[in-house]
Amino acid sequence: MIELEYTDVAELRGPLAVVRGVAGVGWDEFAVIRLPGGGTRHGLVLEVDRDLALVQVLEGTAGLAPGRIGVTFSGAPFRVPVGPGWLGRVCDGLGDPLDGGPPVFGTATAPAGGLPLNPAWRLPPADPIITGVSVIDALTTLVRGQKIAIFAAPGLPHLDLAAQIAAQAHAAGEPFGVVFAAMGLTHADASGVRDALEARTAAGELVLLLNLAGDPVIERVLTPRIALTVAEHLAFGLGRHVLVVLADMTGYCEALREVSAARSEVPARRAYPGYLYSDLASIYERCGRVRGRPGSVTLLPVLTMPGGDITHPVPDLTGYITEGQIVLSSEISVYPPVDPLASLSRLMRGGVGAGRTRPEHADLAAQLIAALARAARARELAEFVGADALGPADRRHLDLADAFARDLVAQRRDESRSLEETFTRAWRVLSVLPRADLAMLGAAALDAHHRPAAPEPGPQEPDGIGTGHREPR
Amino acid sequence: MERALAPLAAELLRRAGREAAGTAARARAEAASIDAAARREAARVLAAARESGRAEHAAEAARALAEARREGRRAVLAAQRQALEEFRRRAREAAGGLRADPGYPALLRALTEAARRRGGTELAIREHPDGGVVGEGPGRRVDATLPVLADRMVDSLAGEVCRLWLP
Repeated sequence: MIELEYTDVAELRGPLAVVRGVAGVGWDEFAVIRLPGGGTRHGLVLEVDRDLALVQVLEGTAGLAPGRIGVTFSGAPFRVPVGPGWLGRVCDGLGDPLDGGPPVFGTATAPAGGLPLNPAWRLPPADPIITGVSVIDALTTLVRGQKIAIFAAPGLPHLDLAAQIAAQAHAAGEPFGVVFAAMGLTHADASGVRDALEARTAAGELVLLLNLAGDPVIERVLTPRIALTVAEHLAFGLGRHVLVVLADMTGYCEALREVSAARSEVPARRAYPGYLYSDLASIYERCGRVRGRPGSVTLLPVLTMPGGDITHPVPDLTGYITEGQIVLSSEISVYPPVDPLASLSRLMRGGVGAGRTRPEHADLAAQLIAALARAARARELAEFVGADALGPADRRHLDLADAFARDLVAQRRDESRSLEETFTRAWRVLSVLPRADLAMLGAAALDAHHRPAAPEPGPQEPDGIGTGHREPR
Repeated sequence: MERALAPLAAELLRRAGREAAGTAARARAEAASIDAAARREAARVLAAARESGRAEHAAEAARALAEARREGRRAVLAAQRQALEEFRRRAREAAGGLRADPGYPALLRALTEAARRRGGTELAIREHPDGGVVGEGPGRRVDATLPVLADRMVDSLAGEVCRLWLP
């Protein structure tokens, strides 16, 4: 109850403060810095040497003067209150309220860095999260406990899509919650995200952490960790399926780079710190399911690829860790501009099928992807030989690609589609092709759902690609 | 000569007539098709405009609804914050009231001891006008004044504080 404050600050430099005369202070301890006017700032212990402690001040040291501030150490790493009190709240990147409400009180506290989980307790991801976005639910289904990233070139509506998923996603009637951590957003973007998520916030199903572009970068480094700590308790303590959206992780990594540079660490690729991979893993690996606990944490990091470069360190290292990606492309002219051929949910088979979505889901997704791949090849070929020179099978596939974009992908930003509607649309798209072209689907599924619009053509021509056959006139 | 050429002229005339009729028919067909295409396009533009109008209206309504919800929620949260601040104020007041308590000197002694235990024996301890004690030493400070202790007590109640506004 009685706190000991250290007042001998030997030096302030950049975001760092050197405190002298400390005893019993440990590495990574959380500190509170008290200002003469009564304000407070927060810090983390980076290094301890005898009676000297090096403290990184999260909000920066601007305006501070040695001799006029006091530093109190908490005796433990940064801890976050956890509990249902977070649901329905809008806070800043450190978890302080932005919605005019009281501070978030929890039923307990948990270290923001997360508790290590016994690997033997982990369960593989299973069962779907329905996002209400047709192209994702049909082709790259989110699986509970999975980590799957949204990759986007700058200028694409990745935030709109992330907010739409956060606003609409559900776990088919089971308790569900969303933790949305926004990192490095502009005021306009943050306002858009808040509007999109308002209904869900008011319903007490969402936690929104907003770290704006003007907020201290070091705060941004803590934001995803706070989000995950809150989510872990909602999931494994309170039995909810929790979707954690981290937007945008490129902003996080840039913050990490700045902090690393301030610490004078040796820079690695593109000046990001050498530990970028393990740092990202320490975030991404906090999702999953735990044996004997009903909830799950599913992670949806959003990344902008600087210059559209998928080999940039941030998307590159993220791709190593995550279990799939949803790629947005400027080549796609409709919203959401998901590129189906570049997107993949690696654990999708664990989340779809009979009793989960629809029995034919995996086959249907594979068939759609195969047909779209053939349409892409036909389109390339048409650029060389002209569309008239394509065979009828190639032309049918081009029609399918058009129907796919128009009927399945195109969706309003406020439109949530049921799984039923998504499947109706997907079958309508596949029905552009004759039954003979749909070799990946079982006879029962085709009998039940395949409804070709026009009578099927007579004898099929060989399906060679680029044969250049003309249809008989 | 003229008579000899008459069949040819007649044939040429007939052909020209047929061709003209064909051209006219084609032109009519083309006109009809252009007309139909224009009508289809007009209908499409009209439908798109209607849809865009509907979408715009829906977006506007959604914005207004979001704003109303936000206002409502803001009012509830502001009331909770006020309740907490009032609770904190009363706790500080009640703690300050201990100065008039007959047990206050004993409390001061206990606080002095606790402050020494926390900050070391070299601390210079003095009583604070707000009640409680403050200890200062080389590079160290211990604040055990009554309002500060009351604040910490409220903070440590954590989840219990929510009972102020829960039904």
